[in-house]
Amino acid sequence: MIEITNVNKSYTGVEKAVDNLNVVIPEGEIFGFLGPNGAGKTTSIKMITGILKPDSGSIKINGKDIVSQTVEAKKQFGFVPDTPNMFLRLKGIEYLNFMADIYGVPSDLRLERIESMSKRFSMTDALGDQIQSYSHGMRQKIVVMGALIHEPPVWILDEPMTGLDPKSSYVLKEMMKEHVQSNKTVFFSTHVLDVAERICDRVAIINKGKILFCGKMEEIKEHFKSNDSLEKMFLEMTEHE
Amino acid sequence: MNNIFTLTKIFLKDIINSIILSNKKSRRSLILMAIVGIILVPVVRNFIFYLSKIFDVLIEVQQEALLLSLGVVISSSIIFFFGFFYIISAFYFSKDTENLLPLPIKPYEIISAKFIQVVLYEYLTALIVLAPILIMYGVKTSAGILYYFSALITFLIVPVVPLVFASFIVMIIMRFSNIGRNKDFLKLLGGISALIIGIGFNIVMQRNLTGALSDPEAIEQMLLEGSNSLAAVISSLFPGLNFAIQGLVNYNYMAGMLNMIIFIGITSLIFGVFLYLSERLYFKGILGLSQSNSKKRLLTKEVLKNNTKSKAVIISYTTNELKLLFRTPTYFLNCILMSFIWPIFFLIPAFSQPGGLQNLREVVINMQQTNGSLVIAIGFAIAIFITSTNSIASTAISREGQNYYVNKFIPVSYGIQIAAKVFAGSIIGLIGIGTVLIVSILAFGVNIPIALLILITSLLGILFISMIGIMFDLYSPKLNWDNEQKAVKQNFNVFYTMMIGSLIAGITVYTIYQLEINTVETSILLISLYGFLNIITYILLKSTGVKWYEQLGD
Repeated sequence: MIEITNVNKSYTGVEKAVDNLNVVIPEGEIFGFLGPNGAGKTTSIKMITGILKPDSGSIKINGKDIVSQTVEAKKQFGFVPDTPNMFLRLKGIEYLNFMADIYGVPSDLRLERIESMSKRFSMTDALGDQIQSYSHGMRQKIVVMGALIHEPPVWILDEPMTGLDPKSSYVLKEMMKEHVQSNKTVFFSTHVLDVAERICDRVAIINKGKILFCGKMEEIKEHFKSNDSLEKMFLEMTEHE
Repeated sequence: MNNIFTLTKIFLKDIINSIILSNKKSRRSLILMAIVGIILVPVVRNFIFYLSKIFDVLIEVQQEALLLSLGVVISSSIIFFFGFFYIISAFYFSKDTENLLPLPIKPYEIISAKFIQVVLYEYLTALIVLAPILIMYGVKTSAGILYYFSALITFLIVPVVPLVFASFIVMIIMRFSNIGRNKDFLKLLGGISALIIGIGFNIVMQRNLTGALSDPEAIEQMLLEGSNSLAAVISSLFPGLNFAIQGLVNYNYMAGMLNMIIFIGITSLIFGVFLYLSERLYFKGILGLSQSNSKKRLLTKEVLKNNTKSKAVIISYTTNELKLLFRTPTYFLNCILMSFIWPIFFLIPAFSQPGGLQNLREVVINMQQTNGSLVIAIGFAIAIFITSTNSIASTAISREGQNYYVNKFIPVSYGIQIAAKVFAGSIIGLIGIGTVLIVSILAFGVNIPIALLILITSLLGILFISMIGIMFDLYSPKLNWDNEQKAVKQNFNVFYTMMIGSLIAGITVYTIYQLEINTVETSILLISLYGFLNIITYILLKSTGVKWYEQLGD
C-alpha cells in the first residue's frame, strides 16, 4: 500500500512541480499514473522512492514513512527508473547479484529467481555479458529483474514499457497482474494510454503538478459521459484544463 | 578551417560549462576555490622568492639563460608526460567523438580542434611552471617590451611539439590496438603501453641530461663558453626549443627575431606533418571503439551458483565500486594506475643515472640507521600523497553522475554507502603504499620492521585523507557530465584533496624531523594523532556528510 498525503514539491520556490498530491493505492491494485511530459509524474515517483525529499506532506509505503524510516520503507518496494543505463560495466549476473546483496536475498532464493526471471524475459544467454553490450530493451529487462529480485510487496515503475519488445512487454504485464493477484501493489507511470486502459485497475491523470482526476476507468468514462477512447479524454483533460 | 573553429568553440563551451555552470551548487564550489586560493598565496610567494634567489646567483656567474632553458625544457617534459593522459582521454575516450563521426567533418579538423583543446589545458601547466620563469627573467634582466612579446610567443607555442610527439605515439598505438573484441580492455592496453613508452622516454631523456651534466669538466667548459652553450645541450631534446631560447636571450637583435621565426617555423612544420599523418591514423583508431561485443553464452549452473553467493551489503557495495574503477578505462587510468605509477616515478631518478640506484640505496640505509623516524614520516607522507592523488574518494560521488539517484532509492543507509566509497579509495591507497614498500625493501634496503611501522601508520593516514576527499565531493559533487573524463579530470575536488594531502604530508614530515624522537615514539605519535583526527572526521562525515548526501539532486 502507498499512502501519499498532502505532498508538495517545488524546485524554484515559486512554481510547484507537485501541488498537494493525495493518493492512496491499496493492496491488490495496479495503479496507473498518466500525464504529459513535465506533468510531475517523475517528480512524484522520485519523492515516493526517496530520491527527492517532499517540501511538505507525508509518503508511506506499507506503513513505513519514506522520510523518517527511510531504509525500512525502501525495502518495501522495487523500483524501475525510466532510464535503464546504470552499472553498464557490470555483467548482467553481477548486477543482479549486487541488487540481491543490497536487498538481502538469500543465496539459494536469488539463484532460483534469477533463473526463472531470465527464462521469462529470454535473458538467459545474456547474463554473462556486460550490460553495456545490451540493447535498450535488454537493459530495461535487466533493470526490471534487478528491481523484482527481492520480490517486493510494492512495485514502482517509471515508464516500464519503453523499449520493450512486444513479448517482454506482455510478460511484464502478466507479471504485474500476477503480483496484484497475490494482494500486492503495482504503481507505474506511462504515456502509453492503451496500456493503462487495458491493465490498470485505477488511474490518476496528472498535469502541472495537480491530479486532475483519479478513479476507475469506467468512472472516467462516466465523468466525460462519452464512449471516447481514453486518449481523447486524456488530451481533453490535460489541454483544456 | 571554419569547422575547426566551430568544433573548438563547442569543445571549449562544453568544458567551461562543465566546470562552472553545470554545478548547481556553484556557490559552494566558489567558496571552496576562494579558500584554496587564500591557502595558495603563501606557497606561490615562497616559490617566487626562491626563484628570484636562484636568478640572483645565476646572474652573478652570467648563467641566467640556464634557468630560462631549464624552465622551457622542464615544462616541455611535464607537458609531454601529462599530455599522454589528456590526449588518450580527449582523442579516444571521450564520447563526443562518436557523435562527430556521421557529420561531414574531416579527421584533421576534429584532430585540430581536439588538439587545441589539449593545448589549452596544458597552458595551465605552463602557467605554473613556465610563466614565472619567463617573467622573472624579464624582470631580472630589465628586458624591454620585445622580450615579453617573444616570451608570450614562446609560452603559447612551447606545448605544441611535446604534445605532437605524445599524440603521435598514442595514435600509432591506438591504431593497432583497435582490433579484436574486448574494446575496453584494448583501450586500456593502448593507454598503458603509451604511458610506458612515455615513462621510458623520460628515463632516457633524464639519463642523457644527467649524463651531460654529470661530467664536471664539460660543465665548466660550457660555463666558460658563455651562457648559451649549456642551454643548447638541454634544449636539443625537443626540436626548435633551442631557437626559442636563443630568440628570448637575444630578443633585442635581428638574430633573436630570426631565431624566433625559425622556432615558429619548425613548430608549424611538425604540426603540419602531424596533421597529415593523423588524417591517416585517427579514424582507424576510433572506429568501433565504443562497441562492445557480447558473447551470448549460456552460463552453466556452476557459474551461476558461484556468481550468486550472498555478501554483506558493505562488502558488496565496495566490491562494486572497485569493479567499476577497474573496468572503466578512464577511471582505471586516472585512479587505479595513478596509484602504481608513483613507485615508478621514484625509480626514474635511480635508473636514470649510472650508479643512481646504489647511491639512493646508501642514502636510505644511512638515514634508516641515523634517523629511522624520518623514514617512517616520509613513508607515511608518500601514502597520503598516493591516496590523495588517486582521486578515488574525492570523485566517489561525482563518478555516479546522473545515476546518483540509484544510491538514493536502494535500501542502504547513506552512512554505509559513504563508508564503502571511503574503503574503495583506501584499499587502492593501501595497495599503492604496499607496492612502494615492497619496492623500497627490495631495491633500497628499507628494513622490514620500519616498513611495517610505515604500513600501520599509513593505514590511518590513508583513511583520513580518503574521508577528507569524500567530504569535498559530498559538499560540491560534479554530477552533470556526459563523459567519465569530466568526473575525474575536470573536477576541482581532486585538486583540493591533493592540496590538503600535500600539506598534511609536508607538515608531518617537517614536524617529525624537528621533534627528534625515535621510531617507536614516532609511530605512537602518528597513530594517536591520526587516530584522533580520524574519529573527528568520522563524526563529521556521519552527521554533515550524510546530510549533504541526502541533499543530492535537491
